[in-house]
Amino acid sequence: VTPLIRVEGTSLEGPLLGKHISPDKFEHCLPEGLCLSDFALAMDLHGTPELGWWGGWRSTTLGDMFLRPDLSTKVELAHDITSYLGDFTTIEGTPLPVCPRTLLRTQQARLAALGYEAKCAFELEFFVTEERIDEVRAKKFKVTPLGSPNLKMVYLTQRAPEFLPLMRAATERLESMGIPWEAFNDEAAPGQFELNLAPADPLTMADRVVRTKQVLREVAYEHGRAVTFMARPFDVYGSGLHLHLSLWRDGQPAFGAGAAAMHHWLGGVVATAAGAVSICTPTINAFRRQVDFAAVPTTPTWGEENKGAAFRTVTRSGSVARVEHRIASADANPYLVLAAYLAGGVAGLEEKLEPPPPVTGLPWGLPEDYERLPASITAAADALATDVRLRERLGDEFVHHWVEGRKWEWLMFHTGGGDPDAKTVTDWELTRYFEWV
Amino acid sequence: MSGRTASRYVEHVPTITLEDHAPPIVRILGVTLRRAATQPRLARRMGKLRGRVALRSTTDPQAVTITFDKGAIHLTHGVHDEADVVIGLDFNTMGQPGAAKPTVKGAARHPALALGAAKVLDPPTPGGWKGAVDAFWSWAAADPTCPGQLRVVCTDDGDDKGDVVKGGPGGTTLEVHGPAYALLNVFTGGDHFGAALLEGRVRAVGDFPTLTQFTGLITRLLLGDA
Repeated sequence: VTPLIRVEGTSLEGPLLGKHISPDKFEHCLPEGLCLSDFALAMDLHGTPELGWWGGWRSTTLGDMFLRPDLSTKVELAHDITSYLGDFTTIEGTPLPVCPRTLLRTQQARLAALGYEAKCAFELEFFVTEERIDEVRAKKFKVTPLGSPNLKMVYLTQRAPEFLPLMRAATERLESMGIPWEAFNDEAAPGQFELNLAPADPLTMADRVVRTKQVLREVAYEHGRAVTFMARPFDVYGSGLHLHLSLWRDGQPAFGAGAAAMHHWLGGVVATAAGAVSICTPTINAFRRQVDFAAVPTTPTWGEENKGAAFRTVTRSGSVARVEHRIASADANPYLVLAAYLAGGVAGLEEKLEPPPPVTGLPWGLPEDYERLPASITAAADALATDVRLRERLGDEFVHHWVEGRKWEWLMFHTGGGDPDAKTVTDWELTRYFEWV
Repeated sequence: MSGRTASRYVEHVPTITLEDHAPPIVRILGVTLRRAATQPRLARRMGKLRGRVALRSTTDPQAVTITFDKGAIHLTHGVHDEADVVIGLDFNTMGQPGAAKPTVKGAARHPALALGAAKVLDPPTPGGWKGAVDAFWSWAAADPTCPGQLRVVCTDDGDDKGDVVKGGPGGTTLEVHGPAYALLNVFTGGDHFGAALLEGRVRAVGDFPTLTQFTGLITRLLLGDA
């Protein structure tokens, strides 16, 4: 088998883009990387050019950008493929302001400049179907979640015979790639599962999430199944991308009950929560998940051990004190979720922001006039556009490109066959998102 | 002059409102009605209409209900259960040559409403495509994403043939070429410039940044954004 090198990086919306190249070509392209048309970062998930706005980072002649491999990300994949993740740059080598990996790297550096390091871990939720992806397409995405539709409890180990072969194969492959995992379990909806990765620094963690999604898709295919990270592909509980994060200073935990760092971190992430919703719930479908009493936050709140809040603090043990960010849906780009979260937290630390009082009851039962998180893709885009803290930290060019992209998505939904009054997931959503997010 | 006579000369300006968070088709038809309301004859007609007219796409779920109440006009998405007139049409091809003829339900019971709605939803553009370009330029010229110079060329033979040049040299330039009907649709917001371009109804000459930003500008015109 001829060895192949693959260099890849995510688009803003999350799919991995890249090329397979020969080992010789790889040697020759270093350190700049591979040429890709910069148009790839200005197309929607349907492959339609996003006409309507411009960014100074783009070539005026449909020109190239570089995908510069990060050699530290080397992993051996199945089928004799060596893969590297990379960062998008101009052909002069300047980092692109809309590169998701670069955006996260920048926020991580800003946190480090304050003397802190972050450790974080994502929980990936996803659905597995009875059908393989080619069968899913043939059935026009009208497919069956794995297992009995009547099993709607959570943590059911008696379902293990149905999902263990796939999950064991997936976790073994992750281990072979050097990606440590901690746990997996049956989730609340039929065919829904959760996989928890072990903590790492933010950039490493986001890299591991995109790798893990890739592995789950590959292993599912090999087992005659399909995996989707759509936020709500079926009319049951949706899938989230919860994120646990702790701060450390000089090797010691900086979070804990009464810790100033945790206090101001909460001040920052709550203050920027509305603006971050656009990044954390990026699709039309993601807003189907954001409903009260569905274990999804709908208010910019925090609370100790409160899973209804947008941010759950866990301080029962000082060494693992952390803040769980519960807004993101499974279809979000992990680099951007982390970048927005770090940007908000750093804003809190830099400006010594005060958080609101914690919510001790159910946040879904708050008075009607209590501030709520944006509930539509356009409202969320507007909130991000006007969030001065996120704009200052994520950059004008990224915010402009992202916000216009979300408005484009809204336009495509309404004019491309989407039904705004549909009570159930529409064909438009399934076709657009099922296998691409 | 008696008060009764004087009142005949008071122009009633219709008020046009949209539901909150209106989808594109509601906003597009709101723009059309606001354009109609600037024409006194159509404004008077709008002031007399009363009833609900729904427009339903024959190709996708897009639908709008327009409630006329003697000059107070409100648009919402969807087909109201008590719509008096329901018009079925293909929003994607309306205004284009060969477009399927709309189907109309309720016209026999509400002929004045059906006819009046048809008139106000298809306001004439004074000056044809050239008038549309003039109006567009008045609206867009100050916007930073507007080309410094815009040349619009009508490719039809006959009276419509010709070109219009707006702005001046020295900055970005863009040319838009197409038949009169397509230019009229694009510059009144009746057609999405990007779709018209990709589907070959118009052709554009210019650099990529100018072209894509111009598409954004036309989209804002289409949706009634400031």
